Amino acid sequence: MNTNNNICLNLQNITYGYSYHSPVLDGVNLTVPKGRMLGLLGPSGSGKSTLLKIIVGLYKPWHGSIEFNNYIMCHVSSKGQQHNSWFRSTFRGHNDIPSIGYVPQVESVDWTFPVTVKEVVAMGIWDQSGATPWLTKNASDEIDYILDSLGLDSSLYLKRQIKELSGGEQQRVFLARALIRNPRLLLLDEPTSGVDYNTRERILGILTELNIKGITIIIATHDITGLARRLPWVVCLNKNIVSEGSPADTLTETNLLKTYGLIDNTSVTSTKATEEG
Amino acid sequence: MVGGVCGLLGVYIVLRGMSYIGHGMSHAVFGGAVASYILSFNVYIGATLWGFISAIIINEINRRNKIKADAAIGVVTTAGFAIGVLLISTTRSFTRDFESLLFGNILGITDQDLLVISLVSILTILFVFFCHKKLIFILFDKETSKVYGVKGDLLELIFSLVLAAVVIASMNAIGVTLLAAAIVAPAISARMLTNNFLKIVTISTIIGIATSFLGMYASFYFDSASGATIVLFGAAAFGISALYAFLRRIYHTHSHGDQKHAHPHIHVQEHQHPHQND
Repeated sequence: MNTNNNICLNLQNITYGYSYHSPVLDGVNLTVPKGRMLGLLGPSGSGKSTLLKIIVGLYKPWHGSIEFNNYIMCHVSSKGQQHNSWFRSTFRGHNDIPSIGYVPQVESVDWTFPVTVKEVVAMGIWDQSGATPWLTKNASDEIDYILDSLGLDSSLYLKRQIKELSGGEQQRVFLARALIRNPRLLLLDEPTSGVDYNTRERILGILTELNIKGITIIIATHDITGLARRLPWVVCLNKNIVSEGSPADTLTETNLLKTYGLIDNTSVTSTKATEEG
Repeated sequence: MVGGVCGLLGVYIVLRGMSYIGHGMSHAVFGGAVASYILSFNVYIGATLWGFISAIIINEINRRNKIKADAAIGVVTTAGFAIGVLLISTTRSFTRDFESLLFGNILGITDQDLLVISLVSILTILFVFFCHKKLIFILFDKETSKVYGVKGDLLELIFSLVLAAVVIASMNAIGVTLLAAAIVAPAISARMLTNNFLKIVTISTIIGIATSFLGMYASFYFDSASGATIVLFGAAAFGISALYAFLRRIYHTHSHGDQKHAHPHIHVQEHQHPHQND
């Protein structure tokens, strides 16, 4: 086992698909050092969301292994054998284990459901706020604090229905739900889809601040110019990692064409050959 | 009591988008009740076994999510009901007794029935009380709730089992064919009135109790079937709350500068209309 303390997340050979023999992810290897803010770029269907869901444990990969802060969270060998890790079975839900914060795509929740901002944020600490339907004083204070820190005045927003808020406000409420768990790693699925310019800037600002505080962040996005180009590190994904590095080195025309599936690997090499020739 | 519990649980069912499940479950349980009656078993034991089995089957089919839940419920529960009808038709001598199962008869309730109703009420209240947070999490955002360690599948199974218990307990009073409305009507009525979750739960429970009381007394007074009367009161409650919600939307209180007033108007995107002092 790799015991490098600077590694936050280590994915080895992750393969997963929704139907047999057509994997969405095919042997993804990705190492994310602590404190990195990373954009996961790819077209729809490239497996961005799927990869995030595998990391948080919603899907079990066909094979591959996931290591988080040197704990093996999941390891499935190529024969499909699964080694249930002691981490999961022994310490699951333990408060000392650094958790992963997950902000889903806004489309994935039931918007007709009547919940207030407070109730949504409280979901993040459902297991730490007492067994009663109401919240402990501590939990309430924590919710106020988190909302205030994200620029949502808790005295104004707590009692509002989540569906009445604007896209950017909803996004921040979901972010609050993730942050209240005090995560070391934060995963966001399309946080800027369907929001306007100002909101995007605001979200990016908040995330940068969180990153400076030491949270490792992975953002899945298909927004190249608005978001990906402005992050310190970019990973292009389409079934597997096409390339990774700083945006300047990574977001080249060839790489983007490859990521968005407009040319496959063979034609890339042939164009290279003609360029060289 | 029966009405209250139905109203309480109904909220979660309606918000889960599974209004049909109460209807289905009650029909399925009927089969079990008839079967155990004919085998001269205790009706409660038979119905409970049967109800729990259909609850598990419905839950499993629902989870595999290739088929929509309502289709799954339709098949499983109608089959259960059909078995009941089939058994009745082969043993005609019992027909009279089953009428109370089908349409409800509050006067025919025994001490044993009362005990079961009380126990189930306590069980349901405890379940909702301690699982409320988890329930709203999985109802609102099931995927993330899994990420944060809510055992959603297990909880849904327990939920189905509690529902089965409620159905069985209220079967004699309201009757299997009418029970669905007793579960759903208070909940949707309450939903029309407020957006606050705890208020919905409270109002729904109160409406459930109120309609049961009114229905019961009315059925005594008019000498009508108790289940049907209760259900009609539930429907009336829904009609009234729908009307109220509609009127409230039209007569919306709003202010222009210092003036605060209400008068009929339809909300367009931005509500604008001339006033003298504007």
